[in-house]
Amino acid sequence: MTDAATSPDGQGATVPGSRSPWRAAAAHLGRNRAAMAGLVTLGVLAFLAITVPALSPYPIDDIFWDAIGTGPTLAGGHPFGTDANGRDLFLRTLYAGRISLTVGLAASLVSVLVGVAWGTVSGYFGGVTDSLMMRFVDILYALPFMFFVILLMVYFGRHVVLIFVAIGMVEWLDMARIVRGETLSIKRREFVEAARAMGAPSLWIVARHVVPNVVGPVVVFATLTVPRAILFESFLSFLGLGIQEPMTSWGVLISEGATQMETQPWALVFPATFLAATLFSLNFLGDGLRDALDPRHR
Amino acid sequence: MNATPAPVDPPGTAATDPAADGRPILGVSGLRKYFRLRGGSGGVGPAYVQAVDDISFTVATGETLGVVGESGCGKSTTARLLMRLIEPDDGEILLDGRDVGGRDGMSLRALRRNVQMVFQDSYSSLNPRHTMAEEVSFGLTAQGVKRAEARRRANEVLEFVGLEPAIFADRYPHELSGGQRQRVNVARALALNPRLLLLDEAVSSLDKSVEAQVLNLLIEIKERLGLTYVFISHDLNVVRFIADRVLVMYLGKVVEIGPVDRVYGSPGHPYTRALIASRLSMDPRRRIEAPPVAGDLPSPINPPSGCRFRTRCPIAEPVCGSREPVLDRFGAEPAHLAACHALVPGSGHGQAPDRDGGTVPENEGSRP
Repeated sequence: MTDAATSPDGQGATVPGSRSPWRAAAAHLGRNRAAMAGLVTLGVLAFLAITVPALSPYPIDDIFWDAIGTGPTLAGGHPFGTDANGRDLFLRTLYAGRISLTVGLAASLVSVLVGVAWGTVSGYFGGVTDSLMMRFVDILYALPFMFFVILLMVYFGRHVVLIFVAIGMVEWLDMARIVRGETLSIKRREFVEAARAMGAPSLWIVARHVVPNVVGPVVVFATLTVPRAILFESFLSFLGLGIQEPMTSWGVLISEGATQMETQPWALVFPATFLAATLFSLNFLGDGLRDALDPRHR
Repeated sequence: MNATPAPVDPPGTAATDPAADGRPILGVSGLRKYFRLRGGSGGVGPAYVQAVDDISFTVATGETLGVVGESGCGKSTTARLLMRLIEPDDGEILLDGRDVGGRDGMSLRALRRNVQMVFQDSYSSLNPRHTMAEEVSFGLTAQGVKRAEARRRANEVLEFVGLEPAIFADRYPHELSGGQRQRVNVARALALNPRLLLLDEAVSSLDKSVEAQVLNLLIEIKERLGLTYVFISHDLNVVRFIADRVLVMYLGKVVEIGPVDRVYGSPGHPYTRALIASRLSMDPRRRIEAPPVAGDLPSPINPPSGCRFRTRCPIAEPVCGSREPVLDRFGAEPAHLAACHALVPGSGHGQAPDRDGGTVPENEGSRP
C-alpha cells in the first residue's frame, strides 16, 4: 500500500486502480502460517487418499487370514494394523478418506452455491419473492429427512451419488437462512442505495455489493458444514442407507472402531486422527480465508 | 486488458448544453409519500407516516437550492423521491420539463444519468470490500462502459476531486479519512456526468475544518462543471454559505422558500424565524437565553390539523387549527413564499396585515 507512490509521475507499468483483489487475498492467505499448514495437510490427505488405494497391490477388501485383528506393525506390512476381519486398516482408512472428503466438500459446495444464491436473492428482493422462497425452505426443513432419503433410495436404487444429493439438499437450508439475514442488514446500507441511484440492475448489485459482504459468515459456516456432512454420511451408512461394505468412510470406520475400542484401539485411533486432522485444517483454512477476503483485516 | 478505447466524456463537458440560466432543470409539484405503518395506530384503519405531503418547488439550472429543517421533517425522503430510490405516492417530477417515469417521459435510466446523489454517511456509503477505483467506476460499468475505460475515467475523476489516483485508487474505505471518503463519494457521483447533484447532508458528518474543505471543493466543482445542486442540511450556516435559495421544511410540508438573503434577513414564517434565532452566535454576549421553539416535533403519523406548526407556534390562533395555510408570496420579493395565516390579509389571524396592503394578492389560493 505504500509502494504505490514510488513510481514517478503516474503512468508506470501498472495503472493505479487495477490491483486485483483476488491476488491480494491470495498473497495474504500465503502469509498466514496456520491457514497454509491447513491447506498443505488437506492437500497431502487428498493426495494419499487418491494415490495409495490406486497403487496398492491388493484390493481394500482383501483378507489377511494370518493377521486378523493385529495391531500396527511396520514389519508385518500393516502400519495401521488390521480390523476384526483381517483387512488392512492403512488402505481402508485412506480409501475412506476419498468418500468422506468428497461428501464433505460436495455438501459444502452445494451449501455455498445454492445457499448464497437463494439467501441473497430472497433477502435483497424481499416482499412476495422473499416469502415464497423462505416458505419453500421451511417446507424442506419440515420434511422428515430420513423419509426423503429412503424415498430417493427406493426410486433410484442405492448409489453413492444419491448420498451427495441427499446431504446437499438439506445442508443449503441453514446457509440460505444465514445469508438472507446478513443480506437484510446489508441492503439497508447506503452503498447499496448509491448503487441503485447509479442505475445498476438488481442482480448486478447482489453480485457486486451483497455477495462480497456476506463472505465472512459464509466461509465460517461452510467450514462447519464439512464435519457435519461427514458425520451425517456415517449416520446414513450406519442405518444401511449410505456407503455399503466393502466400501467405507471415516464415519463408518470410527463407529466400527468405537465398538472394539478396548480390544483393538488402533481401529478407532487412526481414522479418528485423520478426521480430526481434516477438521483442524479446515478450521484454520476457513479462518484464514475469511481474513484474507476482508480488506479490513489485511 | 482491453485496449479498444470507448468514447467517454472527460470531466468538464457535463453541462455544456446551452440551457439558459434560470430555466428550471427540476420541477416538483404535489409530491407526496406516506409510509404505511404495520399494526396501525391503535385506532381504526391503517396508520401512515406522512413523510412528504404535497410539496412543490422548482430548481433553476445552475443554482444551489438549500433544503433545511429538523430531523424527521422529510428532507432525506424528498431526496430519495427525487432520485426515485423510493416511489412517490403522488405528484410529478419534471426533469428538463419532461415527466420522469411517465408513459412518454424520461426513463429512470436517463434520470440516473442526469441526477446523482451524495449520501451523508461517508463510511457506510462506500462498500468496505471495494477499492476506490472499483467504487468510482462501478456506476460506469453498470451502465455498460468497458472495464478498462471505466477505470481510466475513475482515475480522472479521483484526480479531479483532489485525490491522487496513484495513492488512492487501490485503497479501501477504512484506509481513508472521513474527508477523503466524502471526496470519493463526490467522485463516484461525478463519474456519471450528472447535471444535477443531490447532496443529502453531504458535509454534516465531517469535522469543521474538513467540512470547509469539502464545501470549497463542491463550490469549485459546481463552477467548473456548471452543475446544479440541491443541498440538504440541518446546518443553517452551511446552507447560507453555499445556497442561492432556501427551502424550509416542517413535518413534510414546505413552510417557506425564497432567496437566501430574504429568508435569513426577513423570514416570514414563525418556524423559520425560530430556526434562524436558534443559530448560535460567535459572540458570547449574544447568547440565547430562551429556547426559540418549545417542545418536540409532533408525530408525523397524526400531524396537527390546519397548520402543522401551530402546536409550537408562538402566534398560533384558532384559525390555524381549522384551515391549512397555503404557500404564497407575502412581501415585496416575488420569489419569497411562506405558508402562514399571519401573513395573509383577511385570513382571520389577528396579526394578518390589512386587506388594502397594495402588493398583497387578493385571493390566498392564487400564486404569483
